[in-house]
Amino acid sequence: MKTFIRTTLLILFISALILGLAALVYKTRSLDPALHQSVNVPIQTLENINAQWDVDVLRSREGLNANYDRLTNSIPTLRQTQSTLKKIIIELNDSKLEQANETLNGLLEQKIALIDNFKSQHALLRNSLRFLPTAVEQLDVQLASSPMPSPSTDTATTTLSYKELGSLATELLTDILKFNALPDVTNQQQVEALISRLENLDADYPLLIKDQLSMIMNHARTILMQRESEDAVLAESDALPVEQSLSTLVQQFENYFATLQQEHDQWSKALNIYAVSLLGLLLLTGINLWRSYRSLDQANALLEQRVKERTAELTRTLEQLKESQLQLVQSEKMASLGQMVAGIAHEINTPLAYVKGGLEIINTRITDMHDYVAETQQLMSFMSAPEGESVSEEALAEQFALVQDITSAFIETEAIDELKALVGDGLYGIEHIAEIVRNLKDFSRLDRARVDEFNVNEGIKSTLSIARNIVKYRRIDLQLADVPNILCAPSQINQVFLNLINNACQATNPETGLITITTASAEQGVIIKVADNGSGIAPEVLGKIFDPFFTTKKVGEGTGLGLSIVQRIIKEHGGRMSVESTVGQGTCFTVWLPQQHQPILASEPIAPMDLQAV
Amino acid sequence: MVGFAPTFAGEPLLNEPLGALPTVESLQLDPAKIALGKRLFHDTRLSKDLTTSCASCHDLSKAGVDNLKRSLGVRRQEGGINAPTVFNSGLNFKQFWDGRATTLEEQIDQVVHNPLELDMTWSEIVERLNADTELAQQFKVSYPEGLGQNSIQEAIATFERSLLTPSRLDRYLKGDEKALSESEQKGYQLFKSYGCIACHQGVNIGGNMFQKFGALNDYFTVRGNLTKADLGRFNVTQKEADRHVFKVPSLRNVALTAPYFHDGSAESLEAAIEVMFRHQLGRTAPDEDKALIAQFLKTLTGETVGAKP
Repeated sequence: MKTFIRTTLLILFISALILGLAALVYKTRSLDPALHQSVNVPIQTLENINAQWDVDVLRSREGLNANYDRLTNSIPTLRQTQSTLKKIIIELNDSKLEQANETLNGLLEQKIALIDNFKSQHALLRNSLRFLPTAVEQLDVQLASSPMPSPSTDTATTTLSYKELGSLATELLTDILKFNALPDVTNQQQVEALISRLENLDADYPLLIKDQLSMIMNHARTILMQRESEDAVLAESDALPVEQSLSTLVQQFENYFATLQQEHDQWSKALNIYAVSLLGLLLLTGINLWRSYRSLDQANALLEQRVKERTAELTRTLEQLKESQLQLVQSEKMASLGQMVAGIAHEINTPLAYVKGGLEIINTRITDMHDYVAETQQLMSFMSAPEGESVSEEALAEQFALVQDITSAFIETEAIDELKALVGDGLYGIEHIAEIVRNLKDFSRLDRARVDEFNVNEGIKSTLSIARNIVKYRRIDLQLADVPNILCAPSQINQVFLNLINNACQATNPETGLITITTASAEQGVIIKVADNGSGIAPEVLGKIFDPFFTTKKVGEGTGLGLSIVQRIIKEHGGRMSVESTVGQGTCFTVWLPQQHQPILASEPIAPMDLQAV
Repeated sequence: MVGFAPTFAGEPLLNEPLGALPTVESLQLDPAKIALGKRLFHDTRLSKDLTTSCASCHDLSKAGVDNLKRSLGVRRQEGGINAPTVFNSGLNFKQFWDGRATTLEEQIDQVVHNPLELDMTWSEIVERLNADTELAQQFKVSYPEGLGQNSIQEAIATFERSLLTPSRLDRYLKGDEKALSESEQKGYQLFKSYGCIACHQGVNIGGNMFQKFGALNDYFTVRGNLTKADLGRFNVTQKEADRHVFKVPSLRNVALTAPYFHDGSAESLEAAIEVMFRHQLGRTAPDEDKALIAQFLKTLTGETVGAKP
């Protein structure tokens, strides 16, 4: 958990460092020269359009431009340029730039409107200026061909003669042209005065002349008005600070880029510092790493040395342990053997004693027999003595009586029967000993193959006889069912039985002890139960009883290997073993052995009980 | 006349107040967009009640107009003004009589929203047209963003920009002296000398400036029944100087686009010339001169107009 947090924190820290670096690199990415260019081009375009407008307005005014197309053709380009510039500015997101651009666009709109105004006015002015001389000429022609109207009787009106009228019109034309060339107040007033004079003429001129006059005045007024307003429009257009606004915008751009550059420089500086710090950090980490590696190397060497030492130590310990274990197993074996040998000795001792007694009695009887045979031989020699050497009758009779006495004594004491009985007893005792030896042989099966068909019932019986001196003060309840033979190492299985029976005996006391041994066939095998009504095993101990070296006996009484060896043997036979115990009521070991299992032959250090080794 | 290849006797005329039409090719318009625009131009789905398309008022077979005094929009509603021709409209410096739209795209937008014209919203149009998967697919080909307000506007405008009508005058201006008859040439001279040229100049023979209707003699008092449309550019700028100021219309195809003026008041070319002399030129002219001018104006008719669908 701690490592995980440390790793996570480290990763976060490194990510933050990299992010910081990336951010700085992003911030210091070189300023796009195309951006500068992308600003310059539209501004240049706008400057050009504006300048061209001024030129074309003047050219139109002077009649050098045949039409207004040049003034309007640039408008689509202008709109496109404005939108390009607007897009750039929106992208740059700078309020000053936006403001400068708004101002510029406003001025451009005003200029367009003024130019439109100019076009209209100039068209009218031009037409009137062109037409007016013709109109005056036409008037002259009309005046020359029209009859002079009768002078008005009305004194209030002024009736000019045709000649006067004609010269007044010519004067107006001259003054108008003068005004057009130099539209100052004097000329203007002069024209206005002439117009008002002509207007106030209320003579009864022919309609044709009246119309012509009003046409002339209309055009004169148009010239007066358009010339003036054209000038005003052009002045207004000139006054429009479009160029100034353009240079303001350029200046704003310059400022913006300068700020950007400055920012960029600062970020560059920051990046440099950051990079140097990062390098320092890297160097530091490198040094640390190098140090760590060095100490790690040292530690490794030390560790290896230690491991070697430890390994050697452990190897030694293991060997010692093996030895100890061997010794212990040997001790256990010896202990069991000791017990058994004691029991067997006792068993053999009893028949041996009466065989010996019988033989001793027979030995004394043999002396009697020897006397009897000697006396009988004496008698026989008396009786068969040759004639020459005669034997007294008395000696013969005496000898006969002696033999008779001995014979009757034999008969009276039933000595022959006694001898027979003694021999019978001796034979019985020897038979008994032979049986013990046979059982012993059965138990260890020394005379058989290590793996063999084996009947557990017989195994139990032979074990019980081997262990007679242990079990003879306990009641043994054998409930042996008819079980099939199993394939096993009989000596090992007998060792199991001996151990279990031995344990059961030790758990019980002589007065009440009851050991129930049950066999049954089951599950392609045999079940053997060894139950006692002894003290039982406490639950906290129950789990440990199969542990090697675990024992509840006093030091020296048991090795603590008994049950662990038992369990090992059962396992090696592919069997199972369990134990149930209630404190104060008794313990029951249950062993299941398979019928056909090929037991793994026990290997050292736990060897089967081998009597030959004793 | 299509495919006619004139052999010009002379050099193009220099410093003429009128200019020859550019070729459609020189505009470098996208043929696919032109095709899309053409479809939409005739598409009544652009109108509320599915009755009206651009072509309803700008009938290409009628020189781009409807020959009505005032045009009819959705629900047969009469509009406030005479429909100008769509032909050569791409050359106009502004759109509408009062020049309230700077571009054809803007003009389309206003016509779409005008309750008397198409009475639609773009979302409705886009929804309707998107239902036409084939059309939507074609839009996807020409426009990365697919069918939408901008692409519809641009497609129609592109189509309209392609509607140029070269006339005999253009050939004449390019140096083919025989393209105009002697009297037509005389009419052109009169057109210039009388001062018509002061306003009707440039490539589009007008369409590049504003002028007050009744500059020399008041028009509206004489006509009476002042409508809002009569205020002209005043409606746009609210400036007194712009009262009765209108965009000078192009005179190309003028012989086919009667009735004339924003109010459709002049039913014939001759009547229109009469009004112009009186109110704009402030002078009179002999009838034969006016007739010659009328003859000249007829040379402005596109040689392929009428052949177009």
